[in-house]
Amino acid sequence: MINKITICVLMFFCTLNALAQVPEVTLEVVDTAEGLPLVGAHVCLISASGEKHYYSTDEKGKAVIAFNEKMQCTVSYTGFKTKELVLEEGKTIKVKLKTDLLMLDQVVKTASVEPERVDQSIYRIGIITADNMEKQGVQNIRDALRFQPNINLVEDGVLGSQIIMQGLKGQHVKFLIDGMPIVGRQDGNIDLSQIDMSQVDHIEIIEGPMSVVYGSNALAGTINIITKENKYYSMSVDAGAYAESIGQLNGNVSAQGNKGNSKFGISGGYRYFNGHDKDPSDRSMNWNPKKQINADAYYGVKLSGWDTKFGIRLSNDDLTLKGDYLAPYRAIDQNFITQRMTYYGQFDKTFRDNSSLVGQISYNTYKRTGQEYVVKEDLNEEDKKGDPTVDRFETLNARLSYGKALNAWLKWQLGYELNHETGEGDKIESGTALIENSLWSDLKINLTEQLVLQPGVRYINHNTYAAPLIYSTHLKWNTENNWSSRISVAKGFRAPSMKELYMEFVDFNHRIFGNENLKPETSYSLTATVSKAIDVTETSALKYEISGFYNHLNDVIELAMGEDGVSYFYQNVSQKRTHGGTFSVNYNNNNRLKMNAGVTLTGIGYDFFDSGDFDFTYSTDFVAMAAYFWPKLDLSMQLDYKYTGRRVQLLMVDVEESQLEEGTVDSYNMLNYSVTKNFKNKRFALNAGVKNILDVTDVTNTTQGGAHSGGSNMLIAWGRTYFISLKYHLNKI
Amino acid sequence: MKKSIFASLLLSAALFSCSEEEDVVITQPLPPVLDGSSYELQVPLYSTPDVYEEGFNHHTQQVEEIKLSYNRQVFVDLDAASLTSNADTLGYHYNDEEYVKFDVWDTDKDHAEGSEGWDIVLAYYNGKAHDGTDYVPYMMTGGLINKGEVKAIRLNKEELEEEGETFISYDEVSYEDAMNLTLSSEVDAIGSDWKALDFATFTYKIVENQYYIIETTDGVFFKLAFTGFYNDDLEQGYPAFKFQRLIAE
Repeated sequence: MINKITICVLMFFCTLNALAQVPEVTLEVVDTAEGLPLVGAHVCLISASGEKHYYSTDEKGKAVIAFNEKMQCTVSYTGFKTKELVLEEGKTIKVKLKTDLLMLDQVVKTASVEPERVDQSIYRIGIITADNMEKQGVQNIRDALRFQPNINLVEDGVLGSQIIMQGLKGQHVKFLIDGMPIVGRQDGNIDLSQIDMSQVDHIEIIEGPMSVVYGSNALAGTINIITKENKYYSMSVDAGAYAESIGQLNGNVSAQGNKGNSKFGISGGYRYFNGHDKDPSDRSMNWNPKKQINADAYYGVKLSGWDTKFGIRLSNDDLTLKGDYLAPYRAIDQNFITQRMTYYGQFDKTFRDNSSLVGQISYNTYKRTGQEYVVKEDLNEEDKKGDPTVDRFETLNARLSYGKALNAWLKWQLGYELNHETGEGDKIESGTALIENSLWSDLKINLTEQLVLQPGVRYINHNTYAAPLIYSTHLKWNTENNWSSRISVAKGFRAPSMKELYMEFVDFNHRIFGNENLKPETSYSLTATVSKAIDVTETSALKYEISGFYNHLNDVIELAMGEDGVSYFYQNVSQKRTHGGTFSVNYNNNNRLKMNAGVTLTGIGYDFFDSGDFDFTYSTDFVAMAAYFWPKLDLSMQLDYKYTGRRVQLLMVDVEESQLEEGTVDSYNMLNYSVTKNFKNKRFALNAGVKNILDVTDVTNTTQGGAHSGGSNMLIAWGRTYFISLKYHLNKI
Repeated sequence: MKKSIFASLLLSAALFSCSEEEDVVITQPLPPVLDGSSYELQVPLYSTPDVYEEGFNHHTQQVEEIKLSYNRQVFVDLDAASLTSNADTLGYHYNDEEYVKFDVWDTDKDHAEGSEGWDIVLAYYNGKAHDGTDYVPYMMTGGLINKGEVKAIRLNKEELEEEGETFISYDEVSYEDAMNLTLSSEVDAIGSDWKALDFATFTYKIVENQYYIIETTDGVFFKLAFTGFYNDDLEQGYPAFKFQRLIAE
């Protein structure tokens, strides 16, 4: 009864409040160059208590805001520099946004409790925007990373797409979704083609060590996939369809909304690939048929400054490896179903003293089921053959981080991370778990206005291995005339993974066996960058950047070939060093004409015989991009090119006689072209293009040694394809 | 073409003669049958009951009792193939007294009595595998010849061309071509490398462009090529092959 009265009283006041003449402020957001209104610009108001309210500009570039008190206000728009102002009572305020030609003003989230601007981050963070991915017709993270100068991709018919960064393989690259690690590595790698991109806002790529903040794996680089979240509209709906001439059909829908203090979202997608074969004379295929489904949902609520979000993410990947005929009309197919499930919860809270606390917890399950089928084509029958094989991993990851500005020049971060991994497979005893508890802290010291130093340490307690103390130092230096430099030095540690310790991987191209006696890897890394930005004119800018890296790894865990020439075992092979660098140039003329080019040199050296001598082999890669945008037509065109240089790999032929042999993977060129046209005030986007214009499929590879040595072909891509994509986007303010 | 016409003529003649009264066939003394027909045969190297033998289990990495996938051996008399019948086969199960644990390293175990006048035996045997430097004992599934009675040679296109020799395909090889070859008397002259394990799918594939020339106990030349290793339900251990007598032109 009392409750009802309270509600009635409250409702009365609310109504009163609504009826009262609330003062309003109108913001009119335009671009500086031509004074055109910016539709859908984001406005964020921060009250004195730290609470955030979001608005968005309408078709005339206007946002009407109820005014209660003097408030901090930020206005942002993709491709423009963010503007901060203090909102005061009255009138219409015209906000002019300058174009952010070099993307320095983008907000990034990796490794920082509070989101910050790219140029303020102590790390060198590269961004792949949703806009750019849309123009390229990107369907999965493999497509998104294809034209990065410092990243190389390797294709495997069974294991999928794998990454190489700074000359180091996938197990030295950390993959995150919204700051939470992605699990489910087969053979140390995450299959990049399994991660859907339709719900991605942007990707943050940090080259260089981040072992203090993210621990294991974060050595050569960290890739943080930031998902879309609608903060500005009461409702936004997206739908898309994609078709590629190779036999790929994708569709996805999503809806995200805000109501009062709540936010919610739901999305789903389906991707179908019919398989593709270079040599149709046999039944087996180079690219096997695949069906992928993904779905996710979240709900978030804001309560007295605590911003929370809970969600679930599911994906199902169904891959069929078609076998050749073993008898007339008879073949054995292998089917693999990979199921991933992630439950997550996160919160962040900014306190009155401007300190903030961020917590994330995620529970991931990964299950890969393999089953053989006897296919009788003449009888149209498929019978199961033998028992299924199951690989199962479960990971619990929890992160808690706290950041506080101690004074004007000192900012402190403290974090805790738990990683609990369990696995199930033929060789893994039940109850086997790898548990890592870590405590980390760093201190961001603004030595001068131009010089920032950030030392950090991470203490790791691992249930199986004695871990060394991890430390790092990052240094950032900026001058007023747009020179900028960053240096990162770090020690790293990587405990062997569940897979490397216990797994068996026998049914495939690879007979891979785990090794329970592995030692952890330790490493030292250095990455340094210098860049210079030049404002060519008021509306055009140029940026040069040169970066270098050096990594030294001890007790590298690699697959070594067994005596039979066909099995592979994980072993602490030797010491490994990689070094190299990238030189890149970026040019942007008023967001109309964009061009960039970059060249990367990578040297990889092994000390196979513990002699202190590293035999380095070098490779050179080159990327270039040119894009043009016609605002009147709302049409853009983009050309992407990458040259992947010849790779030389040293193979140990005979340990006793210290004999090495050179194997090579030939170079290849990749060229894509696409056109994007927006219709009806950006409600529809039509995107079409050609991928792999030069029709590259495979290159000669002589690095596969052993019993069946000699040259073979390495799969690169599935040849030239044409694609078309249509997207629908609706916002309701 | 000529040959096939000749063969079909012979076949029709044979069919015709079959329809005659039996005693007519017997009483008429037939000239030596120069039957050039092509024959196909598939023989099982497995039958019930299951047999367990101590061995190394790659799965558990331990020596333990393992079920034998191949527990049967089949002797084949190629010469018995005639217009009216296929080659003679005789199979022994592991538990049979006559079963021989073939071992090409051991001169006591590299031959068998088998059936009368047999030419080749398909079996699970301890053979010679090349590990890169030497030959080592390795259990394999393949064909052995009747020691001292039969000779054979493997003809592989890739290998021959690598040595600068010409490869004549199975379809085109003639009696004269076979006469020019030096056949081997090694008991594993046929061996097991007519199939290769495809590591992508873990299935056995038949090596293409490869066949054998066999001189049988009767001194007759045959060409023989393996065509499969699986039965209708794709269980392995069912070698299938085709063979044909080579006749002087």
